[in-house]
Amino acid sequence: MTEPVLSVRDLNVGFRTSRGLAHVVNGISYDVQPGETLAIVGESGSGKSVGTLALLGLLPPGVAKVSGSAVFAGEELIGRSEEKLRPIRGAGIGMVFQDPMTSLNPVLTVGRQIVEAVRAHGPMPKAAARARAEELLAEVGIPDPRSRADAFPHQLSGGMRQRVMIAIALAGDPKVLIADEATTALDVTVQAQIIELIGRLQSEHSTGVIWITHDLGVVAGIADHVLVMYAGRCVEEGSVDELFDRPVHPYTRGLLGSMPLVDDPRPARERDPLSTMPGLPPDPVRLPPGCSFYPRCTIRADERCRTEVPPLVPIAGSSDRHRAATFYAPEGV
Amino acid sequence: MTGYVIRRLVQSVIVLIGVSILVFAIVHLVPGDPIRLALGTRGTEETYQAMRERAGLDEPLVVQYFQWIGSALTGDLGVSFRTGQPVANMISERVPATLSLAAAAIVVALLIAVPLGTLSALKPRSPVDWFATVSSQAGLSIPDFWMGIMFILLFAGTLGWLPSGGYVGFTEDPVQWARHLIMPAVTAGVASGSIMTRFVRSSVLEALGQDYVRTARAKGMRARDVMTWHVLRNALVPLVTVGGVQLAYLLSGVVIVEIVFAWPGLGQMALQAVEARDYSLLQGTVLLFAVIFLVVNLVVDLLYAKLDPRISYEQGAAR
Repeated sequence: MTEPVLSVRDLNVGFRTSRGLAHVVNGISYDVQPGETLAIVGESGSGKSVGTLALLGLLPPGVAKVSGSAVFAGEELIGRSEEKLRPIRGAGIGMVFQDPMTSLNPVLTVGRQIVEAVRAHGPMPKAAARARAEELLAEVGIPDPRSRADAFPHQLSGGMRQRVMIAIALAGDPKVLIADEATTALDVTVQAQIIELIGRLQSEHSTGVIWITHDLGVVAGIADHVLVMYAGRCVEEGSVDELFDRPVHPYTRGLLGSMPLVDDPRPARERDPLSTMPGLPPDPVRLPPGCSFYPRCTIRADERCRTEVPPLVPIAGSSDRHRAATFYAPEGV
Repeated sequence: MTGYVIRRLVQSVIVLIGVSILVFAIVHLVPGDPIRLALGTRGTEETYQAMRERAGLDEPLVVQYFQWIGSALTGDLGVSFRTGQPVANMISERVPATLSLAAAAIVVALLIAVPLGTLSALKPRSPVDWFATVSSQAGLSIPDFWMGIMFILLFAGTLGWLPSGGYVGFTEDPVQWARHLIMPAVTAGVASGSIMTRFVRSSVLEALGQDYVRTARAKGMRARDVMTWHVLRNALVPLVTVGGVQLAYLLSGVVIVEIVFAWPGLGQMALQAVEARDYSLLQGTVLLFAVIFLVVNLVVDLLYAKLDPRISYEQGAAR
């Protein structure tokens, strides 16, 4: 295996709140290989976005408490000053955010916003930066980039805006691209185009991609490795096949059970009903002492589930990259 | 855009007609007879009647209104009862003093509001923020006549650095013009600055929390550039509205500040016109204030479209 371009170990993020410290990310570890796609899956509030924003120091200072380690291209990111993180932002690690409407400045032209990204990492004459911005617009599949560069965000469609966001993220030629719910706000057909675009750019530049999503359909289509997060912890990780074929953690099983099967040959009324998971994720200020999923778990296989946090351990009979944090050991896995 | 401006101008004319009727009615309904006030104890009944006729005051009010508004359209605002001078001349003599004071005061207000409001938004609940809150509260609460008098006592009296009042035209002596301008401009600017500080603080705070600011930081832009182009640039849009209102207010004369500093501006003249029941002078000045407000508001709305491309005044382009 090649050297990972990004290596995160035991990342913790807490938010100081009036009720105490909210434990939003609790001991997450993962590697991103060049050209590989890592999907981080979880429901809203599971800490998946916060964990990546913390890498680049994009969380509100003074409120967020970040610890652990994140090594990017041999350099530690956690604890770096704002000024020392700046060269990494955009140029080392690029980000594409969820809602391209709010993530682009409404009062500046898209061309200008791309030029800013182009010129953020070293001096470049205005005309050259503008030409580069048009090149990037063409690269992300925007027709007539010369005139589109003068458009304001509200003059473009949602899909076009997300392409602009991707152009901005690509401007610094990053080694890692973080797509934070990058397709969630888009129509399904546009989603597919954006996924395809990122996939193409990834293979051309052998970029490592972290794809943050709650859409398991997207994960199945694009991910190499999947990390399932629940209440700020990694509950299960593995290759996409391992995870979809032999999920171990009750939460992962629940997630997969709540996804409709498109290729179910039975007519609709004869299919198994979609399962739902009752309850809500735990309060990050008062995490349960045992497994975070215990309050919602329907299996509760072991008395330790309530009192001990299950460690993330390799699954017997699977590859050593398939690991789960549960005391439950289902039959036949 | 041209269509929009024309529509707005037509609206402005309608508003002005309304204002002119209102002004005319109020001025003529206020008790007190301008001719008797102007004559004092000297006049006989014959001279009084003669002057009333000459001023047209013996005509019915409706006729008087149309005579006034008719000549106002040709730029003739009538003649002051008290001084006998044309009102238009009296107003235009006062315009340079008022313009100087309003422009200087709005600069002072911006110099207070933008840095103080921005700093307090950047560090909420810090000592800077606390200072900004307390000082803007104080700036709003302290009466401007008291502040003006304190300035005079300190800078004109004790220290003797600045003249205590009066106005020198810029073309006569720019240095003296500036020296006379400092204290009234600061006095008038502090109150406006205090109001605007709060607006700057809240609009900068709002801009700071926007997703596009996070995008700008994620691009690797310098903190200073993020601040200038993504925070302040966007916070400017709401500030233009407040600044416009403040500017219109300052342009229509800060009466008390003008009196404290013996500043020959429009506000002072309007007050004198009220005292003397100088109908034509008062009508003329109030009409001018209405025009100022209408023009400033139109300029603000046009600036809005310039600053925020999402705002379009083209017909059918409403989003």
